[in-house]
Amino acid sequence: MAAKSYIGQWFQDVWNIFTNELNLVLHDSGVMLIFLFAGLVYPLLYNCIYGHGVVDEMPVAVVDLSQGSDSRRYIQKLDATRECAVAYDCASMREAQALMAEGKVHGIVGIPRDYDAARARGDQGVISTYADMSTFLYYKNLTLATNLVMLDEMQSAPVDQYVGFDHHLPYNQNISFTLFFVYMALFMILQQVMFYGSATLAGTIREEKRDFVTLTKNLSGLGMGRVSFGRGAAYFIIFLLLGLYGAILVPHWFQLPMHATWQDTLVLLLFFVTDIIFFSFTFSTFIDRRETVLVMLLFVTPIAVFLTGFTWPASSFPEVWRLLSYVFPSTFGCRAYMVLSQTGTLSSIAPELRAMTLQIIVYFLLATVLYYLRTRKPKPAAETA
Amino acid sequence: MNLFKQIGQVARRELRLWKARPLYLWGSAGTVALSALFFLTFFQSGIPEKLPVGVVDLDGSSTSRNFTAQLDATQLGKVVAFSDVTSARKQLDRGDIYAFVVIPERFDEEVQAFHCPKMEIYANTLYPVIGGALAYKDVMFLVNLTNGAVQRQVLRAKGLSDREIMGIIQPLVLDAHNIGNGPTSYAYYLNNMILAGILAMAIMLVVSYAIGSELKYGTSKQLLELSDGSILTAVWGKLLPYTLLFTLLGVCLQLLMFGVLGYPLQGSIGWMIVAMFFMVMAYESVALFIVSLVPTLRLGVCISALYSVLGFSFAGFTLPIEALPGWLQGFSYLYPLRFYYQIFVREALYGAGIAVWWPALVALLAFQLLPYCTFLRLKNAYQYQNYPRN
Repeated sequence: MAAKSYIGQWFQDVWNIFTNELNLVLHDSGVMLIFLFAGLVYPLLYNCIYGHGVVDEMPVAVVDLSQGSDSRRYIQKLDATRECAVAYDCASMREAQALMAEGKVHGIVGIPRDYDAARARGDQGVISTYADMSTFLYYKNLTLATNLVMLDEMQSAPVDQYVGFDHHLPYNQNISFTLFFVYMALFMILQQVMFYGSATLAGTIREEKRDFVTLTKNLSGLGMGRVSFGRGAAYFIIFLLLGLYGAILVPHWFQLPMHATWQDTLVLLLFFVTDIIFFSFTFSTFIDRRETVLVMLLFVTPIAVFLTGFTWPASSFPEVWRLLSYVFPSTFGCRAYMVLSQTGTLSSIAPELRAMTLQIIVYFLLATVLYYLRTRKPKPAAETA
Repeated sequence: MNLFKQIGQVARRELRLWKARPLYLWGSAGTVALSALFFLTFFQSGIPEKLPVGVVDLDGSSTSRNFTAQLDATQLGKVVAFSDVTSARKQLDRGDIYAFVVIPERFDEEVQAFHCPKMEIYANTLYPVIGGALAYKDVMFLVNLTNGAVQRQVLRAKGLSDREIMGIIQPLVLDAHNIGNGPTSYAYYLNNMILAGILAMAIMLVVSYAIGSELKYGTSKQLLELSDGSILTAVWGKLLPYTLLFTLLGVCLQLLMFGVLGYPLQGSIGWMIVAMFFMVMAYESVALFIVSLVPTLRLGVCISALYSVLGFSFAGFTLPIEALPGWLQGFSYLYPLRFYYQIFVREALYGAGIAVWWPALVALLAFQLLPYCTFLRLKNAYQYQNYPRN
């Protein structure tokens, strides 16, 4: 009998805490703004911004001092590439440099006086290129276009090959520098929105000296697990919906390369959403006031972004930052999403799922214990006050 | 005289607030310092080294072993050996290795017989994109090197001179120069603008918190009294310490990067400091504008956060503005960071001088007109406190 009523009470408590939390979220304009704007609009926006991610017909200046048929052919071929367009034909390097300094061109191709003569003699012809490094996309465009034309020129006098190669770039063949960013962002948004949103709410409640469990009596000690479960369930519903939207629907609308079935993505989402919830509960324990979490911790977002290893490779992380990366669910979640979208098999992301499971256990325990410690401490103080 | 005295009074009041709540200094100096610590150490030398590259050696001859050893000795690559293609492909898909090369069976024999055996090169250029692209480049370089070595051997045997040989093997050479970032350092490329973006974020959050908390904690009336009922005096006095603090932080970042760490700087540090000062003021104005519009602390801080996160994308350094869809390009004008970036490129990378980049400076100045559109609204809110506090 006693055991039954305990279980019954347990479910009753979890249910009350769950509905209470959901109520709090839905009636808070600031939190809803974060959830809805960041959760619904950012995924669309980042797809629009980074989905294309290439510059076509980048303006370049050429300085052709050779003025021969070989040099002119090189320039014509360069102009014909998708990456570059010859916008200025300069008489001197100084003129071209001025154009680049003003930002009118993003690359210079200089052909020296003896170019055609050297090629005619059978010597090497040397072409100088100057890339605008203000963004790597400009650099990539100039490098790619000048090299493609060079290879094409060399085809005209083929020389015997002794070692050949076939190359395979199974993903992202034109090496878009931004495609990966979209996958990373879709999962990162979920984590950051969950963290800042729930921490804002936790801060509000503490500021107003209320509790998460106003509807439930006699909660203490081991009963704190109910708070984590009940509150967690509320966010679980919200973020599963946001996750289905951001990680399945949006990529579908924007036709992102996606080899994973929606069922497999859903499995990944179940792990990730649970993980970010307890991660957020753990760290929001330290938030005492409503608006402070954004002011104090928004700067963590760009750090978490780079710790996913989406651009600077994880194998080149300094040791201390590699350890820090294990704190964030996004380190495993973003990577798993990227890998799953390429391979389409859950078995390929088994290591990340294991890591997230470990995080879930650790953060659940931490969140519950920290919550227990926090609710215990102020009580004697309140009585004496 | 009286005006300066009042501004001084309000500024001193603000400093007392800083002392009472660590949030202000943490949100500004703390976050900027920690971000600088992270990003300035994260990219290390600026170019990744020793990237994991797989080799599937199906030949096992001295030639193929020599190839593997050479690949391992390159600065970019570190060889991971695989016995079959399937296992290498699995790790490539997971991004555990960034590229791999398959050396076919009887590779050595075929080379000796001039049958031109083919190596298979695989690279994962999606994740991580920089690692994948560089590892791919490294493998290609070595394959071409191997091919060139045999070509040279054969042509030498035909009695050609080295100069003639180079004219045949490589008739065309590109002499590449990278303006503003010679070593293609990732640190040079990103850190200047990421840290400026984080500073911008801190300004938005801390200033909107400072302006908005007067409303939430009901201290705005007292502030107005102190400034003799003038909202301008109140705001100027309040923002004076922030302007100094954030400019100081920005200049410290600049001196650290351009000075101590030797990041490329073609133009004058003086102009960069001027640009920093105007960017700080521009962001303060945007924050002031947003809080005056809403005017509650709750929404003010939220909107400032949502706005400033997008600044990294709209400044143009991760992706040039012209690569955005047309309707999105206009949004970049809403960000002072975009104009600071324009000045940074023209001045720091090219030393072009103010004659070239003055329009960006004017744009930064124009942001400072924004709050004048909403001062009345802020004054009313400060006076009557007739907006919900939460």
